[in-house]
Amino acid sequence: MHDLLSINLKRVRALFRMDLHRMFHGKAFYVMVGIAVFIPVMMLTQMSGEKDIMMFIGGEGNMAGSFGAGMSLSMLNILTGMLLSIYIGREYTTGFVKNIITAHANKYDYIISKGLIALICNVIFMAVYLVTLFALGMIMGVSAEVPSIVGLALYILEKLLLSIPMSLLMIAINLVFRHSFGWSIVFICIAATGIIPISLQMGLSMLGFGSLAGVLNFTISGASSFATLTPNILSLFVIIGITVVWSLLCSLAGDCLMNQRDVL
Amino acid sequence: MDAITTKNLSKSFKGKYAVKSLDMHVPEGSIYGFIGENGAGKSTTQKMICGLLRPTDGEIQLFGRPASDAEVHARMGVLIENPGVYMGWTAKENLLLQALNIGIENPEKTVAEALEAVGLSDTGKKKVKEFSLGMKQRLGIAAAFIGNPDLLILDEPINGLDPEGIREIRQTLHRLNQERNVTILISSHILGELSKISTHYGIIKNGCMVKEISAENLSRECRDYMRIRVAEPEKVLSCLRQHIEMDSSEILDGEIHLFNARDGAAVNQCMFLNGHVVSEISFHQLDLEEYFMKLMGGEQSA
Ligand SMILES: Nc1ncnc2c1ncn2[C@@H]1O[C@H](COP(=O)(O)OP(=O)(O)OP(=O)(O)O)[C@@H](O)[C@H]1O
Ligand SMILES: [Mg+2]
Repeated sequence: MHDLLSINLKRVRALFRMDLHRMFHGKAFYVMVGIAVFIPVMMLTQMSGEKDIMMFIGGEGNMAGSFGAGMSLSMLNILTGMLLSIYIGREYTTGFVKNIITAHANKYDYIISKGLIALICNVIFMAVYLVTLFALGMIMGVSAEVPSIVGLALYILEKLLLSIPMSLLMIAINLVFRHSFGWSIVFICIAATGIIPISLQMGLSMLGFGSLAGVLNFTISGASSFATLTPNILSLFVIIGITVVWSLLCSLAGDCLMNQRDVL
Repeated sequence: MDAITTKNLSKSFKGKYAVKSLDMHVPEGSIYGFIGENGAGKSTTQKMICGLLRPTDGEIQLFGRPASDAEVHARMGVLIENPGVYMGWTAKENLLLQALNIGIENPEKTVAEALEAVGLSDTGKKKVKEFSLGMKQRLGIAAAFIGNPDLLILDEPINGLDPEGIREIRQTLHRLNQERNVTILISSHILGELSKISTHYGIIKNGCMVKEISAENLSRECRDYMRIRVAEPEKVLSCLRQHIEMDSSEILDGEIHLFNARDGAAVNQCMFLNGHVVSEISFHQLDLEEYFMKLMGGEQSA
């Protein structure tokens, strides 16, 4: 907690510039951008039957209901998570992390920097995804029933907000599995798909604990159920609250993981 | 003020102590040679100082502040074990990352200077994985030097360097120390190299600090001298001074020490002629290496 209060923005900025430089000068990031283009292309060209662009952006209602459609944007979280795994894992295998930790005794430098990198990735991936989706959809003549532009913009904003605590959770996961790329990817997929809260919620509803199941809407992936295409200021505030609380919790977890464990 | 002080510093791995109750004092502006056999705990100690390992017990202060202080950490340059670099990147790209990492304002220029300083300017597009051991080591040293740190922590930095490389690094370290008062903690088991620049030594054995000594006191302890035991040392010494060639002399614990007196026979004769009875006369000779070997506790390993 003390670390959180003594963050030095100059040092965070330094580390962030390094992370950014490495991202733009490595291959992995561009591969992920390619995948973000590839997904909508595949979906539009391979899916048969009646379709609408909005199917690939998101749906309404509870988590389980929107699972299929809502996944499309959450899938982009997986790309970001994989990038984080690559960056964090390689810092440890190369030993470059020694240079980082020595220069940045405050572990929040690390977590904030990686979190910002993830946010930038999410923005870029989402933009690439949406532009490809709409552009190709237009070319192919696929209908796009946008209920309200404001609603769509808010929806995207809310997804982006929720990607912040998700990325911070992924950073913590990567710190736990820093020596095993495989396991970190497995757990990143588990986190990004929200499989745990979804199955818990379904289980609880089936057993008749419907009200208890509602609590799970306040998990990071569960909060997607508040994000709808019809503009709703109240749900925006709920999502902001969930974002702030989980972001704090996940970065605290990351800080503890870094402080409690030996680096080498 | 000390640049590094450790008190009761300990680290155990799975119940086994790698470093135990280590007290270390590295004065500001010193070049501190940290000496010990393989597995003595040198790297472990240095990793704790850099915050890479969590001490099991004890405390570390850097420039009088707790080692967790982020401000003081930003003044450190480090090379511990192998340099932490990206093998698929060039030397320049790697140093650029490090320069950005520590927040240097003009990274390109700093990187060019650092490459120049360690003789890697002409590696161009060569990737680090194509480097020789010594070139990698030079890159690691450059990464530690970048950003004008006030404290350098180098773990066996001359590993794999050729004689010319060793000489260059030694000169660079000496210059940084003299011109910018950089404090340097350097571990090695190549004594000869350390002794050329160290102002202080710490000897570690089985995780414990066996001895800390300044180079000045060390050379005093290691000086060659002739040792003479007689009944009346004062009287004998004044007599010897008149007849024997020597640098200097002293009386310690009733023993006469003649520094740089080589001619044992002349000493003997002089005393005989003046009617002094010698109970013992011997040469005290201890070179640096022997001295350390004795402290590190392995005549067998000498
Ligand atoms: N991560 C670790 N896990 C378990 N034991 C360790 C670990 N790191 C070091 N050790 C043990 O601690 C002891 C001290 O190791 P250290 O690397 O500090 O020695 P050193 O003095 O640097 O030796 P060298 O001259 O070979 O580099 C050794 O017995 C080593 O096996
Ligand atoms: Mg070592």
